[in-house]
Amino acid sequence: MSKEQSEQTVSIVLNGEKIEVKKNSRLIDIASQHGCQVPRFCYHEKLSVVASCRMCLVDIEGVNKPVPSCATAVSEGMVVQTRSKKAVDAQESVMQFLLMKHPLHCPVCDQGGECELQDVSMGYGKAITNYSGEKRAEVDEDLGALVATDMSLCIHCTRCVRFGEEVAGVKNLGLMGRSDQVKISTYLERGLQSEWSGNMVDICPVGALTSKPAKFSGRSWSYVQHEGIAAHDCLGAHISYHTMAKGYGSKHVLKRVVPRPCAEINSVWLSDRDRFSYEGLAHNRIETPMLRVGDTFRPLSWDDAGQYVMQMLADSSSGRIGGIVSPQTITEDAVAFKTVLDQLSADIDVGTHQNLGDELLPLRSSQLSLHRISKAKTIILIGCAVRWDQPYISLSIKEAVANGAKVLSLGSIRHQSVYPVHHEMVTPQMLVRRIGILFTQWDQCGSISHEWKQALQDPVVVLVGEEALIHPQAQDLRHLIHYYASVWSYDYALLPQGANHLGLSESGLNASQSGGTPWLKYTQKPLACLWVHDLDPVVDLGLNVESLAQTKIIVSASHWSLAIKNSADLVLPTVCPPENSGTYINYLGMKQHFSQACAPMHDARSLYQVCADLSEKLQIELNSKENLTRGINQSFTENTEKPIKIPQPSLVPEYNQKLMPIVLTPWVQTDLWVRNAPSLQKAYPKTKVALVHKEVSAKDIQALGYTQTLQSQDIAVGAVLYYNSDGVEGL
Amino acid sequence: MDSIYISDEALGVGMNLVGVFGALITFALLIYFIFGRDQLKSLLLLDLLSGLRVTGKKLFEPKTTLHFPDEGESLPTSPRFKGMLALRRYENGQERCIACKLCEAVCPALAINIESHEHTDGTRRTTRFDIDAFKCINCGLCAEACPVDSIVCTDEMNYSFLRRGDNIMTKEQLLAIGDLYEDQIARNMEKDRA
Repeated sequence: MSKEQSEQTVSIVLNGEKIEVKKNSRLIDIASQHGCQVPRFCYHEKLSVVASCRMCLVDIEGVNKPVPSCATAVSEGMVVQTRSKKAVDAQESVMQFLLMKHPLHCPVCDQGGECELQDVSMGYGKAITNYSGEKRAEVDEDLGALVATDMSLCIHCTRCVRFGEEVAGVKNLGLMGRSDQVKISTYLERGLQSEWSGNMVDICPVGALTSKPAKFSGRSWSYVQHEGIAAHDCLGAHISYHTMAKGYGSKHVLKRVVPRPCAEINSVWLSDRDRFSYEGLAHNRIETPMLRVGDTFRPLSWDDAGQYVMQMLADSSSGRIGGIVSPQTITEDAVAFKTVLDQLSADIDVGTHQNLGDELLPLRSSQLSLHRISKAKTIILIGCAVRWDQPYISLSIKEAVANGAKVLSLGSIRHQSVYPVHHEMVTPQMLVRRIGILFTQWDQCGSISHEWKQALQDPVVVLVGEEALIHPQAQDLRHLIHYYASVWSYDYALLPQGANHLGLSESGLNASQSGGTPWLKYTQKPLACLWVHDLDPVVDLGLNVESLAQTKIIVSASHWSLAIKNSADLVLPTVCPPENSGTYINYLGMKQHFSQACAPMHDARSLYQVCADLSEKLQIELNSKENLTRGINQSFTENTEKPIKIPQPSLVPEYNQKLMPIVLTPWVQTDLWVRNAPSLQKAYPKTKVALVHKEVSAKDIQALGYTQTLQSQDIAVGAVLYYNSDGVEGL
Repeated sequence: MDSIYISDEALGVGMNLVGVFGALITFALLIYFIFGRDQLKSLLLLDLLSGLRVTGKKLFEPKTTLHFPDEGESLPTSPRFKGMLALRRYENGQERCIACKLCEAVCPALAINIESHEHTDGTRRTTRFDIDAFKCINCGLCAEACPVDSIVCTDEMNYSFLRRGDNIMTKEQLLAIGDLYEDQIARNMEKDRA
């Protein structure tokens, strides 16, 4: 061994075996890595060490008492016994103490079968107790719609408290009282105010915190695990779907979602949206294909529905045909959709409802990995509600801030964040111009504050969010940011809502027209037929249904919505991502494959299946899904592409139209699927807000469906925020 | 010496008998000394005779055989008899089952299917409790696993299904069976405990 290596390693004797380990590593980790599992409750790899449960006591030679291995660093020559009589006695005693007041109603406890206390007491406990007194009973806490509590089961390991403080950044829970009066409680009775609350269910070693939506509905041993990719943000967290057989048949239903560890994306955590959206799968689904007859719908068989689709498309072949897919459409589906529709008509637009690329500057994968964000010194957010829209990125920013990074934000709304952010508020009209000024005249312009001047001198990373990407001048903004990325040598990332923007763009589904809202063109030039996939024509696309009276609208979607009921001429039930298989490409260009986790609900089919049936009827050649996946794997852009050079963009003028509502979709309203998840909707505010210029008359904005106004210091001067119903909370 | 006369013939027979017995005893002794007691016993058919003794005794005793299903309304059974399954209630009418799913987990034939939810009173309850009687092998492991004595085996073994599909016994049916047999179940449990 070289000298350098020996400086970094120490040799210890673990259960009689001499091993070389890294200096300063924790004894509990070393023991586990070498096959000597040490029982633990309060210790969690991703949280700080408190050594309060005393379960991980081990015997170290030369130390009189057993020591907690989680709080002990290895040192040279340490002789450790994890199963000596002293260690075993200590572990058994601690186990008895922990079980002393823990109720033994495992059969009704939801944690039964996956409970660390059960496992550890079976492995390291004794089957006797010297205690014969009363058990402890606690009043349960109300932690909101997502986390159920049974505080009598709590063993006060404080994992949930530390998680709230260290990871989520929201101190909702605390340890109160002393001695046997100690309890975990909310400081104010407000429930959990965190987008990460579901993780407390995972880390709680006992049944004190369990999932409320899944309460009492299943047992860990009856679940079948399927690997999946989350479909709600542009990262695609790694998740496991847990399904359970319904009845004696083989049909499995989705029962819960848990995180799958992935160091590059979600570590071991999962945001509430990714975790609890599964509930939407069983609610409000479209059951069979439906044809509009007057004001009602008539159910159809898939065969008949195929005929009607053909007929509608054939009737419209002289006019323009539009096809819009949602950003969570699976890449294979999108390719098939484009292949089939392209054959039908010369005048066709197939795209997404949000345009993130154009001919000059197509959407490409970003180099800005979460690891690099967490190492950044200065982070600039442009119109980005990063905490809610992109929770995993927010977590990396939090890590960066903990390492001393500064965060600056430019936008019309002061979004909530769990770390200090220097906000600069601009009206929506001024947003893109202001960015131009910041990048070009940062050292001259008097209006630029000291913080920005200072920040722009350091290397920065730029994150562009939804508010900027739906801006009418979004194209100019992207050019600006891309051009100055090479000038100032910073990295940037576009972070839209929706999972598969890059995959769709690679499939050629970027609408050709410039601007952030390409679907608006459909209302200007009449369309003969419009096929909307997995989107709500009004809520997502902002279409004026009355102006589309002459257009045949085909909606293929998983869930009903009011607008689909009102506007669609033909409705096709399609599947949600867990019922489908395919590929998502996240903003980093990672191609993430997943397979079907559960059978489609009712009569739903995937868009690929629908297109395959159509292609058979039209005699169009369509690749098999496996071939499409292979094609995506081979031909789609790799991360190591050469940079795109664009000419220097000019300074953009202020957007001069007054009626330009920036409609911000709350993070639990981003797609049809998550809109139908009842517990998420209950737990988080779902009001859609529109930001308008203050000179816009109230009548104009009311025509768009917004009735209430709000002016607060969290909104840029000169802008007014309108919302539609429930009230605004947690912007 | 006229008073005692044994004819030559009779003497011949008598002498023959003595000779035959003597030969037999000699033979038996030979077998005993050469092959041992067991061989001798089987040679003398003693086991057969003792068996025939029981047969002879039973021939005249009253009969216990019942001609099921023509006879036998109440078969004498052990308190641990594993007949048809049933679900029990508490005395106040509340279902005992807490949907812990231990019976489902332990069932070797995968005959039990349970779905559960949170009841309006906040307790863990079943929404579905099906037993496929075709799959059930009446092993009684479910009854053993049950922490609240909800699922039990009754003494009833005389049941059949006439239509396919009836073999899935639903929660309502199982509870009704439990209500019907509650006295017997309670009696058996009492006996078994004693």
